[in-house]
Amino acid sequence: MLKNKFERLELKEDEYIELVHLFVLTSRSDINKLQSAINSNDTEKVSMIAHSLKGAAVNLGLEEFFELAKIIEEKARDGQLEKTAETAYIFQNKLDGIADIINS
Amino acid sequence: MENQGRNDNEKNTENSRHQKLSVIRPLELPETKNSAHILLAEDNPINQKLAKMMLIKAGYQVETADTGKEALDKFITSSGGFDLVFMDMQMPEMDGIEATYHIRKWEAKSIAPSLMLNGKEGEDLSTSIFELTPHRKRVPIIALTANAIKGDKEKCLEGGMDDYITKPINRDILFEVIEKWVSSAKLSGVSPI
Repeated sequence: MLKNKFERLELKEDEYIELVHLFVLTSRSDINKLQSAINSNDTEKVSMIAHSLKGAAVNLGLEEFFELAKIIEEKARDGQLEKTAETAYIFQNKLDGIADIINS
Repeated sequence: MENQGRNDNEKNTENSRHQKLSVIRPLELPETKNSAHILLAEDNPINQKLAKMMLIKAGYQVETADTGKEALDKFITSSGGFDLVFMDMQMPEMDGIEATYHIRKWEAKSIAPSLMLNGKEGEDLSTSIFELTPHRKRVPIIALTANAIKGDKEKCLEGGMDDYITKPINRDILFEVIEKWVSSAKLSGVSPI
């Protein structure tokens, strides 16, 4: 699944895995920050964090994460924080999924 | 039938040309450019690492900064100077535009003592500053922008940047811009006095 992604970036598999590993670590911490921003109704901060998640995902070719971060960003801008919380939860689950793949 | 055959031939030639290009391209970068020293200012750790990996693999020497402030500090204190700066527009503490402003201001003081001669009479012309600074040329600064927002290019250029590339980071565009600016800067750079 990840093969065409690192080939597209002309990286070696271990280099790409290192980047995805970093993506998982930083995204987990970002999602935590995002959840506390949702709890304090800070829509500006939510969309800022989502924007950064989106930027990282797109550079690594992780389209699923990009789409989810995009939804979070847009919904936060619209003030729909309930929807962003739901999507953040899906994002988090997907992170666990990709973490399992790279750890195996 | 004949036409069909010719089209196929054209297609084959086209295909083999593409293959040839993609095989040759990485070797086309002259060694001198690959030794270029690059400052990469990008706050997103993943994007920073990805760009750094790409640049190091191509043989460039890379220094990184997580904020505009760090980029400015590294730029000023670097002993050998940089050949090119990649500057993210949005960064915490100090954004790319502000860091560029300070870099240009510092460069103007360091590389153009003649401008200082036009300063107020009796002003310390600080030739010692000039002698101490290793930089002798205006370093190209390339903006990294998150999206191609209309007017963003103008904002970069007005802010003292030379060019911009949009994210996601594309390896070919990254190298193209280095080739464009590092060589031209070397050609038109202010010669040491």
